[in-house]
Amino acid sequence: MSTIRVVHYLNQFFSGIGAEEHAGLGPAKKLGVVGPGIALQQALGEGAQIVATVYCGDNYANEQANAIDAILALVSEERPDILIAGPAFASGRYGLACGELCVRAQDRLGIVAVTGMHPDNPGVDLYRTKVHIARTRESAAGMSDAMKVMAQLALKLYARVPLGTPQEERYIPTGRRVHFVAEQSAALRAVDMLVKKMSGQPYATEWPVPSYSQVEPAPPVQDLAHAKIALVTTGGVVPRGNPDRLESAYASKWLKYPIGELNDLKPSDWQSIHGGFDTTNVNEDPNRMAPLDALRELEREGAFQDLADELYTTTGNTAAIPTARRFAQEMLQELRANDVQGVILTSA
Amino acid sequence: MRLEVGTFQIRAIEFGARTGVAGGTLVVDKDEVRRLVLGDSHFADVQVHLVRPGENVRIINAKDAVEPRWKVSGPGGVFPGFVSAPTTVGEGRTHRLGGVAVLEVAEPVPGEQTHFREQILDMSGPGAEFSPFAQTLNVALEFTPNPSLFPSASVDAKDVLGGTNEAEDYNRATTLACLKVAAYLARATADQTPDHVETFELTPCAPVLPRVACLYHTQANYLYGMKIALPFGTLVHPNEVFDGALVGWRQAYRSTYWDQNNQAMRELYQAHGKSVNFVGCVLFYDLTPEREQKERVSSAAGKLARLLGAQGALLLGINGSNYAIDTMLAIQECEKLGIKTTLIYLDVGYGPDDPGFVHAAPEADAIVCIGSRDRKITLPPTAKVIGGQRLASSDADPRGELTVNQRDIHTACSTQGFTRQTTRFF
Amino acid sequence: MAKELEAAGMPVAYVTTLDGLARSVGAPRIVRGKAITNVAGDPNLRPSDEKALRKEIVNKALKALTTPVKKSTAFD
Repeated sequence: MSTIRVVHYLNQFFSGIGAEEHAGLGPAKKLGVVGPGIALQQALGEGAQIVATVYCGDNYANEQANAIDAILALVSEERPDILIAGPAFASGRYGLACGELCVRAQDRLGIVAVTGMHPDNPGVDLYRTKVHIARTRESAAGMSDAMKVMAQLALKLYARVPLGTPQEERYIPTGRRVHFVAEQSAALRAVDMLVKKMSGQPYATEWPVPSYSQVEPAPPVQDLAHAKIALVTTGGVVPRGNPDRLESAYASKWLKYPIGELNDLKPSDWQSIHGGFDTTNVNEDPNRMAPLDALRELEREGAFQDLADELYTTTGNTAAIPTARRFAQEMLQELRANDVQGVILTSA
Repeated sequence: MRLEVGTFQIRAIEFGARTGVAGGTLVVDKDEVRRLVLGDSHFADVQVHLVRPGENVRIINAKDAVEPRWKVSGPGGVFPGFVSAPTTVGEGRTHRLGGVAVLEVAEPVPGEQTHFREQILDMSGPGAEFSPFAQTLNVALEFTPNPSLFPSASVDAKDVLGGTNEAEDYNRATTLACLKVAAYLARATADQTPDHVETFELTPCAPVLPRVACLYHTQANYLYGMKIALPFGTLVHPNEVFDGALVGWRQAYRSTYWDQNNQAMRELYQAHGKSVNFVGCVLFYDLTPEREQKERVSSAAGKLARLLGAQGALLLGINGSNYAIDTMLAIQECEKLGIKTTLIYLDVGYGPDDPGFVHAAPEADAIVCIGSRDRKITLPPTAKVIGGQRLASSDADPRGELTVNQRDIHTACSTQGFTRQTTRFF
Repeated sequence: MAKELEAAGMPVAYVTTLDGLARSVGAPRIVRGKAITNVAGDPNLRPSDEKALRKEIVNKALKALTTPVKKSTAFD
């Protein structure tokens, strides 16, 4: 059997070029292993060889158009069987580059691609359903461990050996579901699990509850009396008749409607088209979802200076995190442009 | 409370002049069944179908399923609050016809809540692997409502969330009719000796065994004939559930049959005295979406478990609606009280981005998954359809090939513990 | 969405009935709403009382916006 060809991707820091001041470095390549690639090569063993290391600055990879394609071209030249990117640990820009590069390597080169990140890395939410991401620690202290997990994942995927669960194989859940008929009934499995849990024996849930990354909270509004506040809702509140056809679930867009002249949301003019709950109460009085009347009163009373002139609205969907993230980024630009200092976000 | 359940194992079912059980065959007197049902003025007609495993038959608009049972001795009667007085059951001897189900089949009536009502039962083919009632000999009662009950069709039959009083009343009548027929069929065995007898009694246990309760998040069913929310929960003995105190699952995600044979409770009985001390059941549910109410009902559920002295709780949960919050809050409450929990639960995720929970508590760290609500299953065309001309939530021809969700198949998304369908998350 | 805006430096008072969910997701500033079908109201109240309830909820949201937080915090 011929040796499996592996390309390793690193950022400017881990390739030894330098720290943040070199983040603008363009894509480049060296033959063989570089830096942490030594540990990766050890983990891969003799059957697979790192033939080249491709690297790029994090800023360049995230900001330059076609950067990822240029990196991919360098990878492709090596005719690899496997691409291993990172690990990026908790580094956001590095994680995003690794995720996107792996997706394109899978899609366009048709090769196995694996990366590694800490669960809080923003690349996780974006790429966990598309590429296998080894679960790593926050920093390079977890390097050798991460290399072992990534190597194992890559070799198994390459050999088409079915992967175990994310807990067993230490990757971040991809959301992929496999249905089958178990040997025992749900009831029997549940009683067994309960007995184990009560007696302190190890047990494994069949379905882990999601864990979410933590963010650094924003600083508070300093001077509320002189601040502009915006009202945002995910409760599907739209002008009656839903002229812009906002979806009742899994919205693909967010909308804004002028409310600068309004003191409240009249049921004759507004409604909720949310498909996830009984909208009768909101349609009787849309302020029950988007509390414009109360905000106007408090504005008049001087609790805050000004309410933004537009209502920002979409249909809530906590499930599709990448979409929610995009909405937030797009809204943020508008909010900033309108000097908004704080947001009241209502949802079902 | 000691309950003996005597089983008459039924291997064949046929129509005949006189209802009775002999040599593993159930003979059904069709005319008598019709008389029993049509004594109630809610119905203009009823068709009685015998449907067997492996037949090329599709039943649509199926609702509840009930196992034929009759109370032979002991206090109370079978299906208390419907067929007999609403007094406490769970003791004495009850006969059952093993392997038989009475199916409630009825098209939606005007004003009926039809949200997620689709319940299809294929007796053969790929759909049969998902419904437990593809393995039972079924007496399907297909009801035709009395038209004078619904003089105008002014109320749209689709997606009425609450359901009108007339529709509620009619639905209670179809439930009652099934229970009457189920009791009537099993009554034929009253003087006969069952093939075997199982005894259910929560005998005293060694004090070292951990005390375990079954926490059952119920929904819109009848308890001793009364349809009532349980905002502060209630305590029941599992034998009461086996004896038909809890009936009438209208949406057929769950079924009465699987409370009469509730697998979670049966497995806890199996483990009783060996690895656990099964101390009883807590039923809880509330129907409002208000936060305070959710806190009230879940807190009360945890409290009742504590009053039972439970150290562990097996939860039968609800997912896919705001009730999911109540299930999760109940888990949080139990764990806060030091009661260890496991949960039997349905995945309601729409795709890989969706973790499958309406609400998830980190304390819910021991879940048994019964499959995915929106898993797609393709049913091939069928030779015969029972239950009307139209599906509840699709305009497709019910005779043709149908691609449905697991939730559309009768009792395929039940957390009553019997299923072996499961999903792993990678 | 609340998290993303907060991470970018925009404080968000997230008014929701699913406050437990919001907390496990890690939204920083959470205000508990009344019900899923009427997060900022209550059809069972007289209109004047309902308005007062709504103002109270919005006031809590304003308080949340002006309060420094380090982790997911519910405002009551």
